[in-house]
Parts: sequence; C-alpha cells; structure tokens
Amino acid sequence: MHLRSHIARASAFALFGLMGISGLAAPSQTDAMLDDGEPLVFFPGPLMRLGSTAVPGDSRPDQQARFGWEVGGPPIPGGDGWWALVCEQRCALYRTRLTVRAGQLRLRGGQEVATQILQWSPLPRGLDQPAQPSSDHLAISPTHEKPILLGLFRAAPGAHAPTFKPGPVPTLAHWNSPEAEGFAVTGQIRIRIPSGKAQDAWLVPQTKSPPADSGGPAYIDGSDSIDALELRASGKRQRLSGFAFDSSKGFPNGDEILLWAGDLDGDGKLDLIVNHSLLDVDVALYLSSAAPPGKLVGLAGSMRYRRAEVTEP
Amino acid sequence: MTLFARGLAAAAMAMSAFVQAQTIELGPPADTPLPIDSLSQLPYRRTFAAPVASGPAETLTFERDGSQARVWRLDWRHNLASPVVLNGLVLQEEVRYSAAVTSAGLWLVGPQIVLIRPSGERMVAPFDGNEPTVVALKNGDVFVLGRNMHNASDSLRRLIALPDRIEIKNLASPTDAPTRDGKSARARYGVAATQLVDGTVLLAGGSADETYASVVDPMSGAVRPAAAMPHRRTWAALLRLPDGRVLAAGNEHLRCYDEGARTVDIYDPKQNAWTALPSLPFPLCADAYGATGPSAALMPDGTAVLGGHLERHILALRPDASSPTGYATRWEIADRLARQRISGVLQAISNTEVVVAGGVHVDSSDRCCSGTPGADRVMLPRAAGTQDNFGSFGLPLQDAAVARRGRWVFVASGRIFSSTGFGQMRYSSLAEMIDLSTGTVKQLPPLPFVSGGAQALWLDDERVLVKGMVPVNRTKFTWHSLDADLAPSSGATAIYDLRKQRWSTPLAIDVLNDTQLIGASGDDAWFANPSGHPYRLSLSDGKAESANGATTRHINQAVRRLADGRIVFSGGTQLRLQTISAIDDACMDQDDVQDCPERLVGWGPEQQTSRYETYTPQSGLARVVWSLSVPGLESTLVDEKHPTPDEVRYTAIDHQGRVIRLVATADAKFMLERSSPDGQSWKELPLPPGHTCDKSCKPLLISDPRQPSQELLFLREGNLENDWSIDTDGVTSINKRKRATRTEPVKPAEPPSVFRVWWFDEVSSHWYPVLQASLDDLRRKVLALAPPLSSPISVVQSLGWHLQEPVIWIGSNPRQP
Repeated sequence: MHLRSHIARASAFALFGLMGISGLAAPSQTDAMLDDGEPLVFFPGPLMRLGSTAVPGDSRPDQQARFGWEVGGPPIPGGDGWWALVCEQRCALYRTRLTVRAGQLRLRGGQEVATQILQWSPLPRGLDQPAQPSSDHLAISPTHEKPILLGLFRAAPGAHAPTFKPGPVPTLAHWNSPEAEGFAVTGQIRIRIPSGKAQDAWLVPQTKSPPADSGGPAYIDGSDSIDALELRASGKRQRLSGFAFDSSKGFPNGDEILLWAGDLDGDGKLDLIVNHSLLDVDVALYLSSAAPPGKLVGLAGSMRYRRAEVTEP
Repeated sequence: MTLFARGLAAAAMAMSAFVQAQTIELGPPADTPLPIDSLSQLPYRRTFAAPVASGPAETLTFERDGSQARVWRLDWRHNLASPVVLNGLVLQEEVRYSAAVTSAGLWLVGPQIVLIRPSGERMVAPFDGNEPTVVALKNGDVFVLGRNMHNASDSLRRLIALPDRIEIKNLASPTDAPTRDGKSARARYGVAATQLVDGTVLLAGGSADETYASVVDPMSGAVRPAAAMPHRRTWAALLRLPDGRVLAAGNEHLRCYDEGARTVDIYDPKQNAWTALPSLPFPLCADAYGATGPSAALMPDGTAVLGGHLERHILALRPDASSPTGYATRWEIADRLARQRISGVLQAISNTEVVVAGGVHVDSSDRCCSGTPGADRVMLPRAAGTQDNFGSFGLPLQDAAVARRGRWVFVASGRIFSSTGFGQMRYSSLAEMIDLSTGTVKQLPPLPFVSGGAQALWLDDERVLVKGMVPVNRTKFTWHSLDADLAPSSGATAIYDLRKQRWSTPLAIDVLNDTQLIGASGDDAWFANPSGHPYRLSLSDGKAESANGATTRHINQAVRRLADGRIVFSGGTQLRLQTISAIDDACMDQDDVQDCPERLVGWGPEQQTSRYETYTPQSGLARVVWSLSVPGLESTLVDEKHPTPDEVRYTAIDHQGRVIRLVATADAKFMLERSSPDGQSWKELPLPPGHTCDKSCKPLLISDPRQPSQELLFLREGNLENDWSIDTDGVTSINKRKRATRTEPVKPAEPPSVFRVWWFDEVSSHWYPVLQASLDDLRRKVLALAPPLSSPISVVQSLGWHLQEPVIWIGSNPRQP
C-alpha cells in the first residue's frame, strides 16, 4: 500500500490517532522521559485535514478546513519555538507557532475520548491556509511544484537540542522532488541517497535471513517482510529501527520510505526523515548531531500514530 | 506353546464364553429383516447411542426416527439386520445414551437408565446422564463416569441390577477424589476407561490432563494415580489384552498431525508402567464433528485391531511370542470398509473377520458429519500384510512415492487431507510392493521417516531409493495444495533393500532437504533444489556435493535427468528479479552491524521464464537456451502491476529432452506446445478435437509398456493434484466444505463427474480418448485404456492417474478392485 493513498483513505474515514511522541511526557514524568527521550518533539507532514470547528473566536466557515494533527496522548505544549521544514524545489526551515485546542472524539462503540487539536501557523506559501473543500490532505501526491511540509519540530522540554537556523537547508533528496526514485525492476532493493560525493549513501531494507543454502528467495509463500533498514554512508553501516511492511507484491517506492535527506542541523553530515510504516504513521527524524559515538545518526524525534475507528461524522 | 501364547488362547476363550452367554430378548421384530449390507448402504441414520457388541457374532445399533427408538440387531452369521422398536424410551434433542452389555443384560444410560434383561424384562430408573463414559463390569454392573462425555464431572457411580430395581450407587464426590499436581482425577472430557483383570478400572487421558491415568475401584470408588501415559490422548482406544495389559492408541483432541497420533502404548498393571508398541504407519485420528475416538478389538488369536478413524482401513498387529512386547514389529493395513466410519465401534466376529459398526462419515456433499448406518465387515488377510486385487493403501495418496520396475511397483509415503468439520492432514509411512501380474499388494517395513510425500527410484533389481518431500512453507507442499496444519515432514533419503527386507538408516543432509530426486546412475544419485541447482549424492559414503556448472536459477522448474546423463531444466519456472539484503542470524539482535556479512536473497514479484537449460554432470558443461514461443512470456511480471498475459500451467520433459507445456493464453484459451530436443524451437500441438482444455488439463508422459524405451503422451482432465480432491470416503469434490449437524437430512448423492484422458498418436498427430472415469476411480482403480491403445488381445491397464507418472502396463481383462 502506498503511503499517499493510504493517508487519503485514512482521512476520509475520520480516524483517530493514539499517539506516541518521544520527547514529550506528562509534567510529572518529564524528568524521567528526558533522561532517555529524544531531543525533539517531532510531527511529520503531511498533516491531516481537521474536520472540527474553527479556532475559538474565529467564526469564518473556511477556517474549518485547516490542516493539523488531532491526537490523544500526553499534553503537548503550544506556543513558539517550533520549526517547519518545507520543500519545493529546495527546502528551507521556517519559524512557526503551535496552537493547541481541546477536542473530543466519539469512538466507534460510543466511547468519547479527549483529543488535542494541533495547528501551526504561520507556515510559508499558504500551507496554513484553508484547504480546498475537496482536498482531504495538505498534499497527497507528489506535485513537484507545490510546496510540501516535511515536518514540524521543536526542542523537547529540558532537552539539549541542536540549534537550528531559519533559511535554506542543504537537501539531497525529498519525496516530492522530481529526482525521487523508485526501484528498478531488477537488482538489489536499496534506496540511493545522492550525496554528490564519490560514494553515495544508501538506505538498505533488510529481511530476516532465509534458511541457509536455500539459494532461493527469502520466502515464496507471500510473506515477504522487511524487518530493518540499514543506513550505509562514509564506509559505515548502522541499523535503524524496525520497519512494518508485509507483501509479496514487490516493494514500496523508495520515496515512500526516505521522505527527506539533507543537513538539517548544519553540521555538514547526513540527516534523514524516514517513514517506517506503510500501515500507520511511524515517521522518524534522524540527526547526525544526535548520533551516539561511532554511529552515523541518532534518533532525534519520532511520531507514531495508530488510527482507531470513530463514529461516522 | 509359550506362556504368553497360552495366556492369549485362554483369555480369548474366556472372553468368548462371556459374550456367548448374552442373548438378550429385545422384543419382536418391527419389520422384515434386511441384509446387513442393505442397511449399511442407506445414506444416513440418526442414532441415540453408539453401537455395542451383544454376542460373538451380533451387534446392536441404535437408531432414532423422530420420537421412535429402534434397535437393529445385526446377526453376522446370517447377515441379517432385524429392527426392534423400543417403546417408552425418553428421547430428547441433543441427548444421547451410552450402551453397555453385561451379564445383567443391555444397559442404556442417559436421561434415564433402561436395563433389558436377557429374558426381555425391562427395568427403568431416572438418571441425569447424556452419553456418559460407561464401563461394563464383569459382575454385571455398569460403572459410570460423570454425567456426560463432554464436560468434566464430579461423580463416579455404579449401576447395580437388583432383582426388582436398579440401584445407583454414588462412589465419589468432589472432595474425596484424589488429585495429581492439582488436577482432578475424576471423569473429564474424552476420558477412556476399561476394566482390568483384577476388576479395577483404568482411566486414561482426557482433556484435563491428556497423559493422566488412574485406576479406580468400581466397588468403592477409591482412586489411585497410575503411571502417566507417554503420549497425550483424548478418546483413546483402550484394548484389554489377554495377558491383562491394556493397549492405548489415539491422538490428543484436534491434533491429528502430532506424532503422538501415530503411537501405540501398552500399560502393564502389574508393573504400573507403559511401554511402546510399533508406531502406526499413519495417524489413528478420529477427530470429526459428531465423533468421539477410534476403537479397538481383539481377535481370537490375540491380534489387536484398530479402526474407527478417518481412514477406511483397519490396522492389525499380530501376536509374536518371540517379541519382547509379545507382538509383531509392524502394523498391517487390512482391507477397506465400504464406508467411512469415524469413531465406529470394532468387534471381532470370527477368527479373521472384524466389523466396524456405526460411526459418522463425510457425506457426498462434503458435509461433516452424518451418522453411518449399519456396519461393515472386513477380513484380515490370511497372509500377513498382503492385500489382493490391487488393494493398495498408499498408491491413491497424494504425492506418494511410486516407482515401477517391470511387474513391480514400489509405493511409499504420501499424504491425505480431508475436512471433517476442520481440516485434517495425515501422512503415511507405509511402504508397499504391488505385483502388476497378480494384483497382490505386499506391505513392506514402513519408511523409516515420516514425510508428507516422497519420490522413489529403483537403483537396481534389489534396491529402491526414496527421497522425502518437505513442504514449501509452513502450510503447503506445493502451490496447488491446501493450507493446513502439517505434521513435521522429513526430506531425508533412505534405501530399501528387497533382498534383506530392510531400510537403510535415513540420511538427512541439509542441502538435500528440499530437493527433488531426478535420477541415479552407479553410485550417484542426483537431486535438484527448488531453485534448480543440482546436487550429487554418493550412495556409498552418503556425501552430497553441489554440482557446479549449472547456470542460472530456476524456481519450481521441470527437471529431468535423461538416459545419457544430461539434466534438463525447463519451463513454467519462476524467478525473482529482485534481491534484498538478508540479516545474518548472528547479527539479528546486534547493535553494531559494521562487520555483519552481506548476503542477498530473492525478493518480490516472480517472473515466468521459458528457459531451456541442459547440464551435463560428467563434463560440467551447461548450456542455456532462451527460446520463446509466446511473445512477452519471458519478461512478464507476475504481480498486480503487470498482469500476466500468458501463464505456463504445466511443464513436462520427455525422454528425449523435449519440453511439453500447457500454456494458458491471455485470451483465456489453452495451448499445448512441444520443444525440439535441443530447446531451440517450439511446435504447437493440437488439442483433442472439440476440447478446449481448462486449468485442470495436464499433459502426462508415461513409459510405453509396449516399448519401454519410448514414452506415450497423454492429456488428462481433473484436479487430481489438489490435496482437497481426495478424502477418505472416496468422495471427490471441490465443493465448499460445510459443517452440518447430525440432525440435518442428507441430500441424495449426486453422481460423480467423469473426466477424460486422451492419448496422442505421434504418427497421425491425433488425440484419442482412451479413458473416462470419476476422479476417485482415476486415483485408485485399475482402469483399462480404450483402443487404439488396447486391443482384444492386448489390454493396456492403468493405475494412479493422480501420480506424476501413472502406471500403465499390458494386462489381461480389466479388473476392478
């Protein structure tokens, strides 16, 4: 299943997310979370179309079609300090602000749960403006022309996060770029990250090892699975976290896994935004400045968003 | 006569005298007696109790027709079934009785207790049972465990026939029943029971603790734990042997595929210990909707007989005084019931005859299960382990290893699947030798490993090499077999020595595990793995080596080793075009992967190829020919993004190295074509006149019995390769399996569809219809091929049209086993 079509379908069914965001926790847990947590609070784009009411006090009907995230989970502090990574042909960082409103959703079965409605503004190029009524999502397919929102992040409370600067961000690849490549019909499945150097970097999907000496396919019963992603760059190898994908019908395009590659933290080394699941939202931001000793990158921020069914509006 | 043999004879005589004493007057016949066979051929009967033996040659079956209870007395001496109506019996929906015969008469224990004394006097007492487990005691009483068969109960009761009434004596309560490891020793679901020589009762198995055994004194209710059974059993078949030991067989509930289902153990009450008897050649499984467990009987000569399971055959183990166990070293398959009788009740009625009464069966609509009326009589063969008239158990099975050499056909392994409300896959380890000249089938020592399928090849006049087949994954053997729970299967090899009448020690070599056997010469046997890579096995030292020189990878390819030593791979193969990095096992949980070895494995969509490849092991030379008759077939991806315009359905390679393929074309038509011997060119063959073929068509190559160096080309209809096309009642159907209750009426059986076989005359390039039969007959019967293959003086017989190479030979007149 392709990410973009999946998101469109999810929005159409008004699903509710049960969210896990590393780097954030309830106030009483803050200290403990920060010890082992990620330095950034991170939300991936594209955002979901929010079907709830407008910002309090704003009676304009077109405000009802703004985009953002509606999530459960621990309280998310609103306010300044947020950064938006936006790409057209080139990518840039913009300062932005988060507004958090209380929401409520009725799950299928009648249970009502409290939610947080998150909206960021300002965003460049009208990304925070009301969407067209027919649009379920901010961007659901590569346009190669329109701007896209790659992610929103800020330093986690008390964390030692990198310093970011507004303006252009060196970018090697992003999923909306014309150069974003899929896979050839033949050959090894791997995602090339054009580094412009003598050796490209690679994101290499991996499967669990088939029986020794089979000499044949990993699995021929339709249960092919990708179990990990390995980053290979500068002569080093590093396994990233798990990957949720199960199909015997080929492999998702590379631009559905590697959402963005470039230098976000300004240290001249590779940073990544990687989509780890084609079923739910599971997007991770890896920064070179967060890398443990000897590693290429470290997990700087991530969002997992598991959809739950709600009653039809 | 040994002490053991004397014991057998004495005990058999004692048992005979005990049963002969019971002549129970049930009442006047309600109707004219029928031949037992006529009753048994009726499609379906509802029953209110399982059958019971009421005399040395008499069986009672219990039928319910609406509110009327009818007992059929089956008189085996005269082959007559006489109905007697039992008036006044309480009959309720979903409530049944347990029947027992003691010196006091016929007991029916259910919602009431009915005792019919031998004189015909009837006594009735209220009761709370629903087919509880009962044991007929030697003193005339009946021991009752719990209230019903399906729920754990807290009561042990004894029914006593007093002159004027029935006394129900409560023997145990929840508080006084002993326990082991906190588990109840009381009656439980699926417990089996039988009375021991000393009058106590052995309880064995059941769902609370399937290995638990205990001994109960039915007089006092005192319970003491016995040695645990070595294997888990529910509804075990228990058989008290003449020397006082008890045989136990049967599987754990719903686990026909477990190894335990093939095991048989003996309990010795004197030693309070279990020992093993030889394992069965296939699982003794009676799991079916509406069934309980298998059954056992003792022949007068001490032969133990098992049956009442999914298979229609019975199994026999003859006594052998020279054996430490007192029994022979292997079980025999004997005869075949006319109908499936799952949980049917076994009874020996003469020195060589066994009847199986009642039970349930999968009906002709594939519904499970309906009550099977009457009973079937089967004979133990006079010569141990020998069947006449082509009565092979193994040959009709799926993927049985079958190899012919002259008049001899060797058979081993194979699997059978059927649905009895839930799917049941069983494996056979039976080995047989069929003499085509006489139709005699002789059982051989069983294959020394269990496999769901195998291949066989004669190495010379005295040795047969067998290679086990392993499933391609956890649920199937091939792409057209059914998803089902599979028993552990072995890809080992073993050699049977006809002169020594024994198997070699199985050889399990990792690289050969998933290979197929493709030929042998001298000391070498040749195999090909699923990717088409050949291996050579030295038969003298048991070492296997990769045959370097074979070229590109094939998957599910057709492969054949020709007489000149060349190995030909071709057709219908599938190949993955992508590779993916495989995580090395040692690096699975490792954080530092810097030095982990890199290995690429196949991935993603599979591509059909039309590669024709030959490999000559002697020279190490390999040659690949890409020659395509169907445009675009080579580069077609089999996935939803690239729908397949053409699909190779079957590929076979003839003795000249020519490839015959059946291709399903994009416009839903079928095309048959054959390559030149070098694979350079293809020629389309006609299809039989007026026949357009379908997915079930299959080209088959069979050695010409008139000229063994030549081959005949046939085209066969029917999905005989599907696991679900075979079941134990001989019903072949691809209908959806439905679960039905025993209360549902059964529709009349529809006549089976017939399928055709054509032979291709190379001289005239014309197809001749030579056979027409049902799927079941194509699988198991000897069928004569029509002219022009046969003539009045030379009839070509055939057997096993489900096999990769059916067996055909020059015979006499057609014989129908």
